[in-house]
Amino acid sequence: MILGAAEPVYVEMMAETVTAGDPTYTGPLAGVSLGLPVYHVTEPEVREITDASVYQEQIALSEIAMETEKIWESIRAVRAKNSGST
Amino acid sequence: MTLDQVGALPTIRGVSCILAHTPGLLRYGSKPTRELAKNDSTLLPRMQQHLRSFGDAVAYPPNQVFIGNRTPESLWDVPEPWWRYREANANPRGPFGQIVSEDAFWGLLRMSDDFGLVDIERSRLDRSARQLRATELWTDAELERVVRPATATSSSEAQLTLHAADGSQVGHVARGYPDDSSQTADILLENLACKASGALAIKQLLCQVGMAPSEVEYLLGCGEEAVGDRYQRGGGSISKAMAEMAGCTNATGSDVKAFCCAPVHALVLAGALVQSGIYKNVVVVGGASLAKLGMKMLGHLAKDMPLLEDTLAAVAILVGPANRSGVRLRLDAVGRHTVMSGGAAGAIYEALVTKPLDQLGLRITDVDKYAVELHNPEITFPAGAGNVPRTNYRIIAGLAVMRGEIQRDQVEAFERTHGMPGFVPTQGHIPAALPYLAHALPRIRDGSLRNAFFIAKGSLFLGKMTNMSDGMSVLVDRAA
Repeated sequence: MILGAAEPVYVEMMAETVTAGDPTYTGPLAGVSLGLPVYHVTEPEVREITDASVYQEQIALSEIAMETEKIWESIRAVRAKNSGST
Repeated sequence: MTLDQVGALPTIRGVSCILAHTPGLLRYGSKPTRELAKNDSTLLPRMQQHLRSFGDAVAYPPNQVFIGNRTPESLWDVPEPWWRYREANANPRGPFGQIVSEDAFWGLLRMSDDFGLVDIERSRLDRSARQLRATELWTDAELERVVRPATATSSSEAQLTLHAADGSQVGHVARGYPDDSSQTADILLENLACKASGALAIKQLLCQVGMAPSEVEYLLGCGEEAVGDRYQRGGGSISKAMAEMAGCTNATGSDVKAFCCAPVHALVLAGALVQSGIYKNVVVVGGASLAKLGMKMLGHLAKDMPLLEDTLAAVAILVGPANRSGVRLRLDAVGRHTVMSGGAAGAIYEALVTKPLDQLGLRITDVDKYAVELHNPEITFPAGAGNVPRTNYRIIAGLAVMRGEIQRDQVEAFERTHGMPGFVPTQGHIPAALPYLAHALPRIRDGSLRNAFFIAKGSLFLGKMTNMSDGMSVLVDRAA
């Protein structure tokens, strides 16, 4: 699962939703643990396998606008918590 | 465009911003209606415990910014959460408009009703009439409409009961044509609330600029309500209904529809109607969106916050002819998100920001203030929707980085230097940039601001006719 949201808190919430289940218990994934591997589109793991020109056109500007350090930190924490590895 | 034509650019003559604090109507927002239909008997009492008083809504710093008693930038210094900070001696009236109570709004709803749809207790209407008289905006004949006898006729099953904030019954709204799904009582209430708030904004505007209502020739509505019946669900034109209510006897009007992007479309069209010489005085008006009351209430309840989406908001702008010292609408460089622009942030912002600025020979940093989607972040954040204006400012700053105008480590500061905190209630099209025009106008006039750039975006995809979004932008400045 690849996320693109800009807000670290929101990214964490969505990552949690598609791995352990909806932490807010408001949506259909409440209590449903899908355990999907989840990454943010700006993470090196995704960026490295993306066509550079497409990344430049579609993502580059948004990446500058995002607080990527915080986003990566929160999504890595969710991955670590739910799969035992980052 | 030649210099002569630039000299003939239309000008912004005035802007009004009004709020109606309507905690009793909050339950008729789309989200509360859907949640209450789930029959959780604890929800309504919990909602009522989290409603604000009129005094709290007036003392709420973002509301004080909206009516002009504070600058948007002053919110940087207000400790968060803003709802805990009560402005001392807050005034419900400000230089751009006023905050009216729900009691006054019942009277406006009654005044807006030409078909005997709204029936409200007489004692409340007497109180409404007194409050509305105190605003000094309405004539005696107009106030007479508040207290005239009701003629509501529809059966009780088709009615919607109106409640005050404390839960007590206030009156009813009837449905329109029988078996017409476009004229159920809740839809008519939504449309009447839009009409009433829009008319109030027009009255306020004309009072502020000292213009007789009869001098307005045309109105462009930019709200999102669908006024019509079963054969023409969004037939329109609520702008003419507002014009009638506000006493603009020589005007007609039409509605511009483009989701939250419509206000900037309407402003540009109003300017074009004036510049072409077709009309001299055109009003752009955005009425309030009742459907959006309580939209994020689950997030607010979960955080034990007051339900901050308890306030209807409306804006009106007067566009007039060229004037040597006036604040110009730069129609010579309008930004628009075309079909070809696509959906990537980079392409959207190039179409909306750099392309029009290039046409004017301006750099991104030459614009003093950018007004973007100005949603109050305190409302959106607890519901996971983030800080909308901040995201916009970071993207514009990102563009400036890509163009080599600023360094990457200046992205953070751009929001402070060229932006502002969001201060507008989440009323759909209302946060779409234009409330800042009220703040920019006096500052551009007194020279403390050179220019301001207004960007609106609309989520067209929500309507399921296209996957696209839309965007429009325009600069305002003063002739050198």
